[in-house]
Parts: sequence; structure tokens; C-alpha cells
Amino acid sequence: MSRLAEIARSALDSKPPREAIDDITDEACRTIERVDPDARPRRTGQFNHTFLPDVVVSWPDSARRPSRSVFLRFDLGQELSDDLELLGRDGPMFLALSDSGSTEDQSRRGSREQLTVGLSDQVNALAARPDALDAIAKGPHTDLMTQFVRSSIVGGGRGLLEQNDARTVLDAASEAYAGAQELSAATLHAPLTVLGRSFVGRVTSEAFKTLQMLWWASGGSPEAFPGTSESIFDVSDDEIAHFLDYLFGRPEIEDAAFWQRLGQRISPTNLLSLVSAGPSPNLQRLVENSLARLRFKGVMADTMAPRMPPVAQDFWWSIARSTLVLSGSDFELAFVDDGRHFGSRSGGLPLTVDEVRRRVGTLPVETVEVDDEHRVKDIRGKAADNEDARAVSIDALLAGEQGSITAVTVRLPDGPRLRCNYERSTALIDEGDTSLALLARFSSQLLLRLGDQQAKLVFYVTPRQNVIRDEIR
Amino acid sequence: MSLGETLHATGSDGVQRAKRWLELTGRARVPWQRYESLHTPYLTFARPGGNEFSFDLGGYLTGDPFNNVQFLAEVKKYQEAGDQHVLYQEYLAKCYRAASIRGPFEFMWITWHPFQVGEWRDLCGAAKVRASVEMHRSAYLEEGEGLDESLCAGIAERLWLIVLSEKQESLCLTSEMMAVIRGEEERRAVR
Repeated sequence: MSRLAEIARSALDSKPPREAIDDITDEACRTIERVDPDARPRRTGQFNHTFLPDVVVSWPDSARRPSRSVFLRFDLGQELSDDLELLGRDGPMFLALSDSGSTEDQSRRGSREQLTVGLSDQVNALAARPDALDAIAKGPHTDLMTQFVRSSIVGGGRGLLEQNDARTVLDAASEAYAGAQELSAATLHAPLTVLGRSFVGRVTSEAFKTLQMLWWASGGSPEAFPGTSESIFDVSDDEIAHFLDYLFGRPEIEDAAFWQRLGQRISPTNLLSLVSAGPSPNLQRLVENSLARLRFKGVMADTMAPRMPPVAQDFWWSIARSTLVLSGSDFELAFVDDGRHFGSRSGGLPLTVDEVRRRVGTLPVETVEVDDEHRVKDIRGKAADNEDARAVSIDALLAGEQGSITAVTVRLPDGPRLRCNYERSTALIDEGDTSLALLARFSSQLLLRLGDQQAKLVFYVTPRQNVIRDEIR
Repeated sequence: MSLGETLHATGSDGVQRAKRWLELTGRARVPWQRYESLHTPYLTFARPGGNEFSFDLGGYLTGDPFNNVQFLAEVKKYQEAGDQHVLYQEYLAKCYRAASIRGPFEFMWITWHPFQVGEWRDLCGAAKVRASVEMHRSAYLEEGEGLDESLCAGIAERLWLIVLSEKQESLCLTSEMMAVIRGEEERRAVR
């Protein structure tokens, strides 16, 4: 028996009316929150009233998800037909205080048929039983579309939702998720029909669009997606940004293959167009699975007082001020896809020759900028046959030099030159770009003094197949 | 559908319609009703012998002069006078028993057809209450229990005899009025 049905039964049987109403309404609110933790149910103080709701549910993003009135009813019987006639057009939710199959079978079958007809006339009303909501809250699936069902059923579900209906819609969501990932139109047809009849038009459109984006993220063409939707995913930068924002706001999706396929589809521009995004589990997943593919041009480094990580790992990704930020407990590396962010930046300090030697190590160096208090001079490794800079060892280049180093240009293993400016605490690829993995690895080495953390960081940003989170914690 | 099921369905329909009409006056909240899968003990009272009886509806009136006053209602979705007078007399005995156990309540008899029209004005009098309780003394009074005249008079003052018609049911708040009240109610909702 669902908790709500149990509490309704015991409270009505043993408590004074006001206490019983409080207990039942409180549990109804908790039932809603268990399904959709973002929902904010508020009590009106009414109970089982003809036209005044018992609970009003709203969501933080009220523009996307308007509030919904919830009417508690002892049962979903013939009386619901009157309720639908009176209230149906406003798209409320009727929540029964009894579980599926709790009424006599024969009358139940009759009323279910009547209700299904009545509810099909009122396209935006939902009549749900508490055990059906519990089934959705506790369902075994964790994929994106199941999460979509959980977060949408209270605000945008429609029709009759008994326990079997709950299982049906959850299974449909999982099948649709699999079908979109496998680019299987045949697999998608049936679940799309179920989803279409289980949600109001606005939410169905959102579901279909999400599936269409998954279809695209898995390598398919949006036009080949079998579902129809009022809002079609057009693969514009805005749409991709919206999709990423949506994904980062969802609970963690553990399917590494999905993140790798999505990583094939997005660019740094897509990520940075979000302007800001917290260190959500799904952002970590996407970046960790795209380290070799995402290409950036520069990085700004900052150190700070040690702080508690917001996630259960040593390093984490976020997006801030249109930069992709790799954070540790006492540093931040902000990656950019162009050099514009560097214009007015200051705050760094020149380094000693010994410190630069230590940081550069065995990397080939092309130029070093030295400030010896009298003047700033460039020291270049010269090629034997022309004036172009030639990569040489740092020891060779700085032999006998004194003063402080304001900049150094090194040659990265994949070819491009990386110029570190210590007065700005920045590093910029002078032509082209490089992988996030290499930029993170070498910019952290050259710009930060991480000590023991450096080896961990190098391991963290080294790409590997099917990144397993526990492995890199 | 058997005769019993037909009567039950009619009764259930009447109870639902009476609840709906009461709440659509804007002056009543009716959370409790019979014909539900969940038992609602707020409508149920024990006879002296231990058996129980129930009213059809229960709730609270709102607004002066009845704000938050509790009421109980018996609903008869009848198309003719039928046996209403017989049932009404027993109903008055039930009111007496309920008032003596958990009173005070307002008591409503809601029907779709009048009955005993010749003594209509006397149906809500103390004498009618007294006579009805005496008639059902064995079922609703303890053995040897004397009749409380002041309780009979108090019940008579709280009796409502309401005859509804389908047209009258439609004479209620409009959907626009309901939306205004609902909006205000939703605005005041709290976590």
C-alpha cells in the first residue's frame, strides 16, 4: 500500500478531522516531492472541495512549467466525471487517496472505462493514484527519459494514471531512450505513442524534442527522427545550448558511450555559450569523455585559499563567464576558445630562472622573455640556417641568464606553440588550438605550482576510453 | 444493474450532487461523504445497542452567521415523496442521538422532492423532533433514558429542510466566479 493511502486510512479512522486533513495533505505533498524533487507543493487548507484545490504545485522555472492545482479525492470513481466537467479545462491533477485496485473489481472496470473516455475529452487533466506516483518515483530505470517522466508527470501528466499505467509509461520512456540512442525508428514508434497520450501537448513536445536531440547526439539526422513535434530540434547553436543546459540540470547519466557520442557532436562554442553552469555530474561526464576531442586556444590560471570541493573528487569542471573552468581545491584554470579574454588581465608575477627551469622541465622551448631590471629581452633558440626560432632545451636557452622571466613559449607534443605570460598568468596557443587534455596538462605545469597535485591532475586529464568515475576519484 | 445497485447509484449521485451544490453556494466546505471507499468516521455514530448509523455528508458552513459551524446532511435523490416521511422521522431520531453524543451540529435534509406537504411547516418543529425520537426510542435512546426537551428544541432550531431541483442546482457560482475564488485561494497557499 502506498504511504499516502496508508496515512489517509489511519488518519481518517483515528484522528480528529483537522489533524487528519493536515496529515493527509502533508503526505500528498511529500508524495509529489518524491516523484519530482523540484516541485514546490503548497497547501490551501481545503480538503476534497468541489472547486477549490487542496494543493497548488509550482516549479522554480515557472515560465516553462506553470503551476498546477491538485484536488484530493477519496477515490477515482464516477464522481470524477463531474469534476472533469467542472474543472477539466484548467488541466488540474486529481490525486486519489486510495491505491489502484482498491475498489470493487467490477465497478472499477466500469469506472475506468468511463474515466478514460472522460479524461480523453479533457486533454490536460491527470487523475492519478498514489501507488502509481510511488511506482514512478521508485522505478528501476535511471536513463534520461525516465528522469524526464519523473520530473514531468506531476506538472504535465494527463489521463488516468494507475499503477499499471505508471509501469507502461516508464517502460515506454526507457524504450524510447534506447531507440533514440540506437537510431531505431521501429523501436521508437510504440513508446512515442504512449508518451504522447501520457503528457499534455507542451510536455509531449518537450519529450519528443529531447528524444530528437538524443537521436542527433547519437549520430542521427534530426529530420530522420520518427516522432512528430511542434518544436523541432534544428541543430542551431541556441538549440544545442538549450539541450546541454537541460542535460546538466538532470540527475547523473552514467552511460559513457552516450557522452562520447555527444562529445563528437558539440564544440567548445556550444559549451561556452551557456555562460555559466555549475559542476553538475553530467557536465563532468561530458567533459571527461571529450578531453581529447574538445579543442581550446588558451587558459587563465588563478590560485586561491584552499576550499572544500563541491563534488566528491579532487578536480571538477564548471562554466563561468563563458569559460570552461577546471578547478582544484586551491586553483582554477579557465579555458577559452579565443584570446579575447586575456586583454586586460593582470595579477601574475614574473618567475625566477630556476622556477621556470623547474616548470618547463624537458619541454622544448622556443623563446623566453627576460626582464633583467634594465630592459626586457627575448632569447630565442635560433635555427642554424635561418632566423626562425628553434625549440631547444630550457637549460640551453637560459645558460648564464639572470633576472626574472615574464614569458616563455614552448612547443607542445602535438605541434602548436604555447606562450605562457607569467605577468598575466595566462597561456595561449599562438596559432590554431590544441586538445583540452594537452592544454590542461601543460598549462597547469607551466602556470601553477601544484606539487603533489600535478601528477593527479595529469592523470585526471589524460583521455581514456569509457571513463569510469571511481577510477579517477 | 440490480434494484439495489440502482438505488445505490441514485443515492451516490444525489450525495455527490448535494455536496457539489453546497460548495458551489460558496458557503460550505464538505470534506466528508458516504459512498466512498474510505471509511469516514466523522459521519458515523453508535446506536445504544452498538450498531452504527451514518449521515451522507458532513462539513462546515462558512461566513456569518454560521462561520465554521459543523453540519451533517442526509440526502434523498427522490423523484416523488415516496417513503421520505418515514425516513425523515428516523432521521430526526438520528439527529437527536448525534447531538447528544458529539453535538452541536446543523442538520440538513436535502431532497429533490417535497413530502408531507400538509405539515411542511411543522417538520422542523421541536414537537416533530420529540415525536420522532419517541417513535424510535428503542433504537436511539439508552434503556430508561429520558427525553431531553431542551435538546429537542435545540435540534429543531438547527434543522434545515432543503428541496433542490435541477434548475436550482445550476443557480450557483459561475465558472468565472469560481476562478476568482480559486485564484485567491491559490495565492494564499502555504508550504
